[in-house]
Amino acid sequence: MGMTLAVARREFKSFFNSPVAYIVLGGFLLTSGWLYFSTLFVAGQASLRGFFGLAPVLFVVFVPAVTMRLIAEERKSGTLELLLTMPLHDWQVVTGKFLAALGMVGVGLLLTLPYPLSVAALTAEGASFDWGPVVMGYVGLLLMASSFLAIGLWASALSRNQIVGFIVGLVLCFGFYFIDKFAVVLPQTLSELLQYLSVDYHFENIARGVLDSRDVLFYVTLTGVGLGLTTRTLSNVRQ
Amino acid sequence: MRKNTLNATVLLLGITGSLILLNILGLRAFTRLDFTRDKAYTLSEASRKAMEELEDPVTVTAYFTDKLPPPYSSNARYVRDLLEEYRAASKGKLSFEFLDPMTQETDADKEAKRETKRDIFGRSFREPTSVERELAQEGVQPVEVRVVEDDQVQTKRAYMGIILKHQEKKEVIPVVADTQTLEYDFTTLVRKLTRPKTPVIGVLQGHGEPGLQEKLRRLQQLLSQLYEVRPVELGEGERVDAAVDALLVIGPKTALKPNELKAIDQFLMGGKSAAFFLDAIQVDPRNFEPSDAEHGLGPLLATYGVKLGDQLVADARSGQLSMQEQRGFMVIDVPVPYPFIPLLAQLEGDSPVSKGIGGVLLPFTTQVTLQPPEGVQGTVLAKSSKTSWLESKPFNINPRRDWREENPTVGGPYPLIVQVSGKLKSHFAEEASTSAPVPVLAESQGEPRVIVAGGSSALWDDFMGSANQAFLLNVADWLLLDSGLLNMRARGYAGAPLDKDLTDGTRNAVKYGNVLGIPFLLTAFGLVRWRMREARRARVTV
Repeated sequence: MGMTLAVARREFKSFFNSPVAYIVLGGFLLTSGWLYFSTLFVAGQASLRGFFGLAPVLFVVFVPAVTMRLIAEERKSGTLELLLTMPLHDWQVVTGKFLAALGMVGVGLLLTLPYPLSVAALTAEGASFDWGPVVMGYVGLLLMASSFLAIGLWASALSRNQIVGFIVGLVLCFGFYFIDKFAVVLPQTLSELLQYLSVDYHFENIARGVLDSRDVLFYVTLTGVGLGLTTRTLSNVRQ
Repeated sequence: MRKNTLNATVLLLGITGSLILLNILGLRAFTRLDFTRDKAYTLSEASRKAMEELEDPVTVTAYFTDKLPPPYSSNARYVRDLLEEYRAASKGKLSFEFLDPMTQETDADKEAKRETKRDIFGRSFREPTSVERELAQEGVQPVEVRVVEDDQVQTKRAYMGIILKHQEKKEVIPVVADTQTLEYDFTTLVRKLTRPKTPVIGVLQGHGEPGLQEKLRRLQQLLSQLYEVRPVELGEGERVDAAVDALLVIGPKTALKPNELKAIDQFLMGGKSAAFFLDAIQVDPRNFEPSDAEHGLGPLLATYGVKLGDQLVADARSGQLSMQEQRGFMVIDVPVPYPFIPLLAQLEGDSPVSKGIGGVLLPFTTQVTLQPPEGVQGTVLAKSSKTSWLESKPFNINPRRDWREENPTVGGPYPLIVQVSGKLKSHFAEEASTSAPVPVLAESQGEPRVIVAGGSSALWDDFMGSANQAFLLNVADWLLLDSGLLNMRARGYAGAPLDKDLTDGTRNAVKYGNVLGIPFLLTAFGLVRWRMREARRARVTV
C-alpha cells in the first residue's frame, strides 16, 4: 500500500507541476460552469440536475485527457522500464497512477462546490434546497470518473503515443456513455444488457439521490476490469 | 517473464469472472439507501402503516410485457422493487406476481396475431387475442411502444398495468405511466379497497353556489376517486345529514339563513371538519363580469378566530390572461399579467395541507386574518407576495385596465388561506342553556378542523391546474384526517424554486463568479506555484 501511495503522490504532484492539470481542469470548469449557469436562471429551479446532466458528457472528453499521458509518456521516454525495475508489482504502479488521476478529478469536482453553495443560497424563501441528491450526484460522478479513469488508463497503456491513448480512451468512454442511447434501435434481447452496461444509466439512478448496491457494483466492476486490463497490458510491456 | 504474463492473465480472467458473477447476483439481492430529504424513493410512513393495518390478503398482479425497451424497462424495475417493499412491509399480507401477458397466449391467439389485415387506408390491424380481450375487460390498457424486430422499427402492443384484488373488490392501474406518483396511487387504492366505509364529503348547495355538475366537475371527479361526494341542502333543518363526514362550502352568493348557520356550527361542534371558500365578489372568468356575494358567514367564522376581509388582493406576482389584440390585420392572443390572480410560489405554514405545494393560483381573493381565541391553533397556509396590494370597492377588475399610470401602495404579504383547529366555541353558545327542542352544543366535541380561503374560484374547473388539484386533495384528506397520505403526495411536488426577486447584479455576480472566477483562481494558483518553483530552482543553481 505504501508503494502504491508513493506512486500516487509522485503522479499527483507531477500533474500540478505541469500545465496539464490547469489546462484540463480549467477547460472542464469553464465549460461546465458556462453550460450550467446559462440555463440555471431560465429554468428557475434550485437544483443541480443541469450540472449532473452535462458533467458525464464532459467526463467522456476530459477524463481520457487526464489519463492519456500516464503510461504512454513513460513508455515513450523510457522511464517506464526504470519504474518497472523497481521492487514494485505491476498492479501497484497501475493503482498508484489510477489514484493520482482520481485525486485530480476529485480536485476538479471540489472546485465545482461553489455551484451548489451559491444555488442553495439563492433558493426562494420558504423552499429548501435538497442536499441529498447533490451529495449523491457527486458520489455518482466520482464513481463514474473512476470507471472512465480505469478505461482511460488501459487506453494509455496500449500505445507509446499519448494522442492514440487519448483517442482510444475517448472512443471507449464514449461507447460506455452512449451505449444505452442506441438501445432503442436494437433488438430487445440486447437492449436490456446494453442499458445495464451504460455508465449514464447507473449514474442517473444515483443522481436522483438513491445509492443502490447494483449501481455501485457496476462501477466497481468496470473500474476493476479496466485496472485489470491495464495490469495485464503492462506485464506484456515488461516482457 | 512468461509466467508473469500468464499470472496476470489468470488474475484478470478471475477478477472479471467473479465481478460479472457478483453483478448477476447483485441483481437479485440488493439494497438501496435513499438520501433525498423527503425520502422520495423509500416507502413512506403512510404506505407502511397501510400495509401493517391489512387484515385480509391483498393480491396484486402486475401485467408487464417482458423485455420492454428503455425507458419502459426501468419502469418495470421500479415497479418490481416497489412491490417487493410493499410485500415486506405487509408481512406477507400483500402478495404479488409479475405476469407477461404474452406467456398466457394460447395457440389460437398466436395464430390470430399472425393474421394481420389491412383497412381501406392500408393500415394493418388484427383481431385481439383472448388474453388482450380479457385484460381489456379487467381494465388494463395496452400501450404502443416502438421496438426493433427483424431490422425494422415496429410498434408493438405492450402492457404495464396493475390489478389489485381484495375479497370481492378490485382496483386497477391501467397503465403505469408515471413512476413518481405510483406509490401514492398504489397506497390510495389499497386503502380504498380495504376500508370498511367510504367517507362522505358534503358540498353545500342552495345559495347560488356553483353546482357540482357546473363549475366544479373536476373537483367532483378528483374527490370521487377516494370519497363519496354529495350535494348538501340544508333547507329548514337545523342539522347537517349525519352521514356527511366533512363539509365544503364553496362560493355561496346569497345569505345563509340562521338555521343553516346553526346547522353548520353544530356540525363543527359535533367534531367534524369543514372548509370554507368564500368570495367577496364572484367573477365570471369568461367576460369578467363581477357580481356581489353576500353569504353572511363572517360572524360565524369570527367566533372560530377567522376574520374575512372585504378588499380584493392584487399581486404583481400573478397568473396571466390570454387577451386578443389587434396587430395590423391580425388578431393575436397575447398573454398579459393579471394582478387579480395571485400566483403563490410556495404555500406557507407547517401544515400537511400546504407542505411542498407551490404554483397555486388564487383568483379574486380577499385577505383572511387569524385571531384565534384561547385553545385554538391557527396557521396561515397561503400568503400573497411582498409585491401585493389591496383594492377597494367598487372593484375595477377589467383585464384591459391600464396599470402603467397606477402606483398602488404595496403592503403585502397578506394571508389568503388559513386553518384553525382545536376546541372551538359555538357561535350559538348562548342558546345552549335554553331548553331548545334539539340541544345545542356550546363547545366542540373533539377537535374540529376548519380551513378558510378568501375566494372560491381557485376550485373552479377554469383554474384547476395540477397545483390547485394537489391543494384540493390535501384539503379533503386533512379534513378527513388522512394526514399520512398528504405527506406522500407532497413529495412529488416539492421542487425548490430559485428566488424570483434577484437583481440582475446578483445573477451576474453568481454566474460570472462561478464561470470565470473559479478557473481564474485555479490559473492564479498555478502561476504562483510555477513562479515559486522557478525561484527555488534559481536559488539551487546559484
